[in-house]
Amino acid sequence: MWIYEKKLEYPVKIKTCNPKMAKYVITQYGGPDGELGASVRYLSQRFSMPTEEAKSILNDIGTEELAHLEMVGAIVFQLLKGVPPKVLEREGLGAYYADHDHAVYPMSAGGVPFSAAALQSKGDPVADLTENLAAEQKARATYENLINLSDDPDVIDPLRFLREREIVHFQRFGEALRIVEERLGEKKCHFVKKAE
Amino acid sequence: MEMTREKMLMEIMAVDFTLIDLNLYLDTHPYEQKTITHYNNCIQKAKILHENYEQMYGPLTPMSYSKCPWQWIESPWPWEKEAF
Amino acid sequence: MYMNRAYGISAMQYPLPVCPVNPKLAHAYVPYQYLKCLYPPMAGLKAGTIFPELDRPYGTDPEYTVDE
Repeated sequence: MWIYEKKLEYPVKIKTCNPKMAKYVITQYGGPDGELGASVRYLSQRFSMPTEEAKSILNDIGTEELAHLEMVGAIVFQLLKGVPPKVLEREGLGAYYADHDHAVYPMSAGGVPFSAAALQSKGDPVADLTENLAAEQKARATYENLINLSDDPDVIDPLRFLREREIVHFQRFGEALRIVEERLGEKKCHFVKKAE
Repeated sequence: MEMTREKMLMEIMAVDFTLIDLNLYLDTHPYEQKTITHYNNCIQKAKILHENYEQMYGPLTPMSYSKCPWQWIESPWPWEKEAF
Repeated sequence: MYMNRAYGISAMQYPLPVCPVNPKLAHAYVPYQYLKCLYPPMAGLKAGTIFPELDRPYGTDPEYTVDE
């Protein structure tokens, strides 16, 4: 289960509002390669993983992704806070404002609501861990795109942190895959014929 | 007073982050005694920092003592600009 | 027909080699990390990791392209 700690993993303190940037950053909240997808993916895959190392790394990285989800939500929230509706409309967030006011809603930069179609929990440890390696690279690439889109250091700083975390997660999933392959490689596989 | 709270919270973030990164490392390196010893030392440091902060500024988790009125609901919440 | 995999802790040899001794085709391998040293806590937080060898800021790896 989860206990909530009343602090962010890394500080988010944005002095200047920027609805246009919020429109892009939201993709790491509810987009295909975002933190919500990552946490649900890993926390779902952990149930069927063999080996304690793999179960725990999925559990712990899945938990950290929830903390990242919170950070991204905080970035979007602070970028939008206090911005008048007419300005939101001018910056391209008219439709978002109509449906969500200044709230944070899980969707992609293109406006597609969050979907589990972007993730898989295959039950095959090698497939799942390999998918996770890809997921971390996609997230890293997205953070790089967001960094390219911004020139506000208050925004770039937490994005930079989140990008680096993806690299570390990639390393850990890679190690988990090595361990799982090592374990699975040791065992003899038994083919069991189903009764007709 | 606000500066001190911000400074204390930053220190806690830093030690807690060390613990998070070490936690992930140890999940795939479970037999490294020296690293586990270092982890335990950081836990001790984190406990003290958490306790000191909570005494002055209220709970960081719901698993803490509270005065009346219920301190857990106090602002600022971490996503607010005033939190730092 | 289904494969019955056995789970649980077996007599594994830690630490794993950095790269596998006999890599198999059609398998992906990530090098196993060997701990060298750690950043102090505040530096680690700012960098996004406490491990200097995993500290890869945006722009240091040419394979991760930097758009002009």
